[in-house]
Amino acid sequence: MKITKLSDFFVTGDPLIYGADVAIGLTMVAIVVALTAFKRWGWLWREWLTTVDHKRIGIMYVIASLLMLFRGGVDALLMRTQLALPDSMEFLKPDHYNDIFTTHGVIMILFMAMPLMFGLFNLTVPLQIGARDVAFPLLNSLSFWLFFMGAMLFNVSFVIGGSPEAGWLAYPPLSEKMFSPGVGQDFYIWGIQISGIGSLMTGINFIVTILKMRAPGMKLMKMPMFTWSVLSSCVTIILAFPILTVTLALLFIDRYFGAHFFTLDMGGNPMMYINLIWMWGHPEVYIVVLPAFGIFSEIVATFSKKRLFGYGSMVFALMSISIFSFFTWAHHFFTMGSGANVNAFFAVTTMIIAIPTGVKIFNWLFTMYKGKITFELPMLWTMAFIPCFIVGGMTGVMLSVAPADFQFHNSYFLIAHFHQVLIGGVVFGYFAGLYYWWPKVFGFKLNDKLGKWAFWLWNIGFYVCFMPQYVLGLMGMTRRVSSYSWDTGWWSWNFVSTIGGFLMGIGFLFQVWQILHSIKFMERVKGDPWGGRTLEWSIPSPAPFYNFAITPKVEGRDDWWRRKELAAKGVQDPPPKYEPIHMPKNSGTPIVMSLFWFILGFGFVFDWLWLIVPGAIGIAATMLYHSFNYDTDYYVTAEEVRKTEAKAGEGCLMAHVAANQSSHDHDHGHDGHHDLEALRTMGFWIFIITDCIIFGTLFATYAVLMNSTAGGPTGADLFEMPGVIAETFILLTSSFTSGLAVLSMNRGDKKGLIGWLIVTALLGASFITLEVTEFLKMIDEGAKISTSAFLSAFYTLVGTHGLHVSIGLIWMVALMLQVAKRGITPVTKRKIGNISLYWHFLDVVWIFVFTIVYMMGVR
Amino acid sequence: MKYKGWFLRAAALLPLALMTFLLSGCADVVVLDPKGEIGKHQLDLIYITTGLCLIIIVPVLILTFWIAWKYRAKSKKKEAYQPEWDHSTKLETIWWGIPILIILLIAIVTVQYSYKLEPSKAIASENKPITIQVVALDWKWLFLYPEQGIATVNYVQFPEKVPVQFQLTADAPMNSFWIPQLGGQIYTMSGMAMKLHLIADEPGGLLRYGRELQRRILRQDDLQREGDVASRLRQVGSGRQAIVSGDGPGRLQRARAAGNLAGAFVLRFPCRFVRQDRQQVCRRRLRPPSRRRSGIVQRRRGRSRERPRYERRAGHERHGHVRRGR
Amino acid sequence: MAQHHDTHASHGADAHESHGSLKSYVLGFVLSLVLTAIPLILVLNDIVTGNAADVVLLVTAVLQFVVQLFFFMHLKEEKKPRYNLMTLLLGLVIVVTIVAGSIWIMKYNMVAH
Repeated sequence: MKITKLSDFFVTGDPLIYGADVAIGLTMVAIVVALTAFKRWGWLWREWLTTVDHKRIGIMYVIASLLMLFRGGVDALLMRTQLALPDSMEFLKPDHYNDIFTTHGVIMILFMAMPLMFGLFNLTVPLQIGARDVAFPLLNSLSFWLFFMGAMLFNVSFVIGGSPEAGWLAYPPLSEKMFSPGVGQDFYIWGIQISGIGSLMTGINFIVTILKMRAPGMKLMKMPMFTWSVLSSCVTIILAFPILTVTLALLFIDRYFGAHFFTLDMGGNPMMYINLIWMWGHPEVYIVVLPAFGIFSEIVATFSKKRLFGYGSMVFALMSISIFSFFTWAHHFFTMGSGANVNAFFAVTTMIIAIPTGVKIFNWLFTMYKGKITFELPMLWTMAFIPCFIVGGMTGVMLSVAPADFQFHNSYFLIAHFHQVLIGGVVFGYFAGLYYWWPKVFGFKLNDKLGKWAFWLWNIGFYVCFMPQYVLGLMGMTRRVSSYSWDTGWWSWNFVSTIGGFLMGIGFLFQVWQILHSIKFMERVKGDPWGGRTLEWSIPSPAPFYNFAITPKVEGRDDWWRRKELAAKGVQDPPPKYEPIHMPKNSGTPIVMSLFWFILGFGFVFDWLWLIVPGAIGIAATMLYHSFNYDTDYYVTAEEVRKTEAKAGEGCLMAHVAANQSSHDHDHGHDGHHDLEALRTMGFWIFIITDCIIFGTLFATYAVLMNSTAGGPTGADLFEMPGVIAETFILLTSSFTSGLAVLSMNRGDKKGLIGWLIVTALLGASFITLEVTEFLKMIDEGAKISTSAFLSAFYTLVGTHGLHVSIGLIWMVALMLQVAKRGITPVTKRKIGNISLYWHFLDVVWIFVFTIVYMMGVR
Repeated sequence: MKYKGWFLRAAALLPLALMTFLLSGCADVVVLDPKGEIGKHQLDLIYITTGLCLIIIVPVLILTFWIAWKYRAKSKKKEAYQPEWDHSTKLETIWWGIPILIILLIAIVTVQYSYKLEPSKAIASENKPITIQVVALDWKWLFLYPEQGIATVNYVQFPEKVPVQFQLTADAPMNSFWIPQLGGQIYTMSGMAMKLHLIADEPGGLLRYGRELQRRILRQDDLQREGDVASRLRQVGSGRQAIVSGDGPGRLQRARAAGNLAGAFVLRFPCRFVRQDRQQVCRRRLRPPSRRRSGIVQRRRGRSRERPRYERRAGHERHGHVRRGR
Repeated sequence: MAQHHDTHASHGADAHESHGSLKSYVLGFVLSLVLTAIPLILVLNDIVTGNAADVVLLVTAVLQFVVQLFFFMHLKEEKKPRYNLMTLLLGLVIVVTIVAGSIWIMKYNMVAH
């Protein structure tokens, strides 16, 4: 995009935005000045920017999400101000209003709820399962920085280029180039895309962590319920986010390359976008709500001083919600005319999910029954959640009834429903979790009195804001209107709703005050301020950087509670024996790679090759650097551990209670040293499954669009089978030779390994050559990606596969070099095993490409 | 204390005032007050599902507060404390079983009604249906009456008790057509012809129009033209037409007074209509966006947000440069 | 330090790693060749046409997928708990849902034309 004047780049003409420009500029200057004045650049780099410590990463996630909560909240209040009075008022022009409801939605879900959730995952899960860190600490840091850069990219659109305006899900055709020619929509795509990659990585990370890094004795059915909820949420993440990645990529390909996936002409089908985006969108809301359920389970049990009721039932409910959420997506477009069969089916599947959710409520209530309930802040928020979420769930069932939904869809009834479940469920849950685990992270509790003010303001504000909106929906007010006239009769309800919104805003301010006040005035607490039941409360607050000095040996659920009871009975344990602890080193790779992603995204937004190319090269370079970097861990000496524990000064109780541990567990090596290579193999396998989903989505798109040739050439016209058959046999043979390479490796034959790898790479390279030739020929004949929807789908599906192969080739060369230098070690073995698996996977995908695209196309 | 009494009285008055304030618009809760068969069925469905849900919701809400109150640690009474009790097959059966049953009932009803109220399903009636084609254009609705040979912009009228077969499409970004008082909505998408069947059972009542259309004060010349449309539609159906004025009771009086509109179900959108045979396309004169006007820009909403081009033009003038899309 | 790390890891790595054999790879390769040749011959020569051809194509593709899963990717040799298998099955269920669901909703709806 050519920039000829300042207003092509910066957003001009709006005083609010100029104000924001000034504020941003001043803040950046202030930060730089402060860091320089206090000489904290080194500290910032060493302690925060390059950290791989999950606790620090968690803190960064939480801070970022609270800042985004502020921006999203301001957006909300702006909208409510505009809607408080009818069309005589024009506080926000409709254009601006569109920007605001779009950014409000994107920020609240993707840049507030998701990072807050990941923050809580990071702060808590390793501590709950008795682990020292997550399975992939560096990947964890990368996830955070990718989220950060994605959020930055999205936020920067406010002042540079213009915000997106097409709603938080950017339906085409409005989000296509024709109707959204500005860069705002591209900022949207890249911001979410980059952040989404981070989310996917976190999903993989925590699944492996939870499945493989639990303390000895902690069987799956003995895990804390929050950990179960994290596992279920992460399973949904790894299966849902690839769909988002593909859908946004297809939209971008439409915009950037002129393809026709979702355009109005040449066979494009906007309905397909709606279908795909909601396939991600529905599981997404379950992704954010499941951990909230886990938090409530922890809090209810702790503050009722009672075991969680119905553990098995709760686990079953969590996992079934996690999977079933994938079968309900069409309820978001009942009014799109899919027909009674489709609508009836999805209505029923949607209702079914209400059952396990309801069961959980009962389990929480009966955890409280015959317990001794105290109402500290975490419990208060839980009590607020229950009635709120139940009512929200009820309106959800009402909405799921497809024919009735024709009257509710996209009205304020819908808005009230989803805000009720999102705020009442997700926000209240995450607040409860923050209050609950705050002392573990920072070493002090948050002030109770200010917290109660915030709590009541939020709650009252919530009901005052959203209950009128149900009425408004029934009165026919539809969403995304920026104004309405006096004679609709909507005015009074809107006005009340605005008051409620501001009450919530004031509640948020109280929370900010509470945090600042508590930092200054609240006294330090010991490891277990609430009388907790699970392992995280057994270590000092804040936790030492290695978490557990000695890996605990777990014997039952709520193990910490059990040990406290034993200690109360006077059961003495032998004094602890400290051993060296294996920890990951800090690394600058994540933040550097993420910066390159930002550059790449920014370049694509403005279509500046001079940013795109360096960005892409930078990403590849950092990945290769990481692949060649074997110096990633170190050991903490036993002496240092002893000193740190003594300084944490927990006193006698800790020393005795903290015992009952295995000092040397042969199953896992020293001090619970986990088999890192097994972890990495499992992680890679999960990554391959996410890649399956990516190709699955591309196949689905192809299946829907394959006959949309818009009068242009068809497969039968274009496909030349000899070349395709050659490609098929070449790839199959290369899959076989990669297996031979693995066999050589297992025999310890380094030369054989490298030799077969070279053969595989050469075969792969010929595959790519043939494919590129094929594509070039087709383009020459006038069959471009922008010619028809069929061709867009074809090039994207087959091209994505080719891209995977090309990246595999680069990776193969890198590994050949590493094996040549280091020989066959467990690390290189794992890497070769992974690339071989990758290569087999690509051949399997090609079987289906060959069958569905070429064979079926050419008939 | 005197002050306290006064305060309490004022506090009691507040909810009352609030309710009066809020409920003054109560008659406008159109979804709960349908004027057509489809809408009525949908309302039945809403009542059934709400009722079934409340069977669970109300006891749970009561239980929540009761348990929280009874077992609070600060309670003076010594309540039973069973810290290890965490399982009961009986209870689990109840709270899995009852929701499953209720959802099953709701599901059965839903499936039945999904087929019954499928938008593309014609409505059985002794009157011959009337076809109206609807096109969602950039910031206006175009209604074509193929059988009557007329077209209207931002205004549609049809007789009571006559099934209307809407055929809907859009020229550009998606939109959604909704007449809350008669029944459900359907998306309008370019390149497709959606079908929606609705029927108005009675005249009168306030109408909520399709997606956020601004209404404006009805002007005299519009009334005359409406008479034209009404007379053409008079041949359809029983002759008596449902009149619904979109703009409040005053409008209704005025419309009735105009005489011609003995009955017509009228959707009024601020524009004049068009006579297709004369190929005179009505164009709302686009006044430069004033503070009031620009609200109307949002008139046509729906799934897609169009960028109001004349807003942009205002931007032009303000900044003195031409701002084209990139 | 790296060696200490490596030796310990090698215990685990050997325990978890699946050892293929030349036989399994060769068998897998040959079967895959056959399963590719069958649809090629049958369909490109129009020996089978129409829906039957689609069936042949899909069945041979799925069979080849299964062959490669077992002979190249050594799925059966995974130790318990079989997380890899579970993840794979779950992933496949979702892929089928995505593809079948999309085709159903987009192609068999009331919005004809």
